[in-house]
Amino acid sequence: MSSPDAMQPAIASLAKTCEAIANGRYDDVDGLFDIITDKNVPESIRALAETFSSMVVQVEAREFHSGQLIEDLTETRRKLELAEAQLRKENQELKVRLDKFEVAYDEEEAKMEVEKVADTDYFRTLQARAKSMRSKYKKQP
Amino acid sequence: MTKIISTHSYRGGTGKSNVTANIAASLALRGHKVGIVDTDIQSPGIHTLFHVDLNTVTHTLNNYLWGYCGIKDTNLDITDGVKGPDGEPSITGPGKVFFIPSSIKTGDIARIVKEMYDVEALNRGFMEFCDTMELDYLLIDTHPGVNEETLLSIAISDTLLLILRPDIQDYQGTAVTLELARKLEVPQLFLVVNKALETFDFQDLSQRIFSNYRTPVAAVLPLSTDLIQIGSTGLIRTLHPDHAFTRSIETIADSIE
Repeated sequence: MSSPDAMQPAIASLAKTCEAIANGRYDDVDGLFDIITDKNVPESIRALAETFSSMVVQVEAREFHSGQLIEDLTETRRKLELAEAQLRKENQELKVRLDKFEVAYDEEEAKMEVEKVADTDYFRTLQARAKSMRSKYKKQP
Repeated sequence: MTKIISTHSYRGGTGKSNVTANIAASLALRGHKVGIVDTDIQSPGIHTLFHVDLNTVTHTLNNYLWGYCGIKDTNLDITDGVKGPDGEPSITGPGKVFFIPSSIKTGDIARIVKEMYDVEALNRGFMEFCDTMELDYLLIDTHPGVNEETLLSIAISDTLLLILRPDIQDYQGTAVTLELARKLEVPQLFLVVNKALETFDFQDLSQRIFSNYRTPVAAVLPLSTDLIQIGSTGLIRTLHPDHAFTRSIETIADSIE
């Protein structure tokens, strides 16, 4: 049987490693390997340390994988944002092109242009002459 | 009595001369006596469509307006200039096409633009042309834009054909010209949409233009590659009797006949 003297530092080391892992420090696990290889430490504690170290490896691997996933997602988000900006730009361009097909004009401006021409002596004379000319022809059989 | 038809567009490049010439051919093919006056003195274009070589012509509308000759001296019978795909004259019936050209000499164009001319003389010329040739129809190909000559042509017209392209700038100018024509009480107003891309829905375009201007759309004419190839070297009406453009020209002729 191992002595309580050999158990005490081993449990303290396990507690310390536990704390390090809880804080995300996966490199701080050398103590575990010391326990696993220390023949003076009771078998059950060494087995515990071994199980524990394999858990650490799994957690670390999972952490690494998650980190990569986050990186991938961030990259995907960046690409999506770029694509969205591109789409918004294309939409704007298409709208401009669509406006060309729309039958629309500035009514105020057209009205002003008409006034400019209609408000001349020449136009008024022409208007009167056109009117009399048409009524004259209408009277003809 | 002669029915006077003006073709006008607010901006250049609408294919106004082309439409005028093809309508003239269509009406003549129906047996009418048609006269055309090219009053687009700054950029005459009707003559090439009828294969008229203006270099051999001495009396033009310019000479008449300067008082150098009478209007009847400027008249050309271009009936045989309406040619079919075989190059032979298409009009064999009683129909006739008479033509008063504008000068293509750059000096003449510069002079008439710079010196202006008596718009009244132009009016008298129109009337004399109608009477002496006993025309059924007088087609006036006007200069683009709004000036005294075009307003006169519009004022004396029984029918005004306003040519426009499906384009925002043409929409604006068309609204202006239409309103002026209404003020001049032109009895018959028609819009003719030219150079519509074949990918457009013509029915829909026609409907939208009609509801915006509250003016009948006589036809929507297509812009197609074969039309570009013919360009201004001939009349589509007789060169391509089955073309969609020809069918639309016939529809316009139906409306004004």
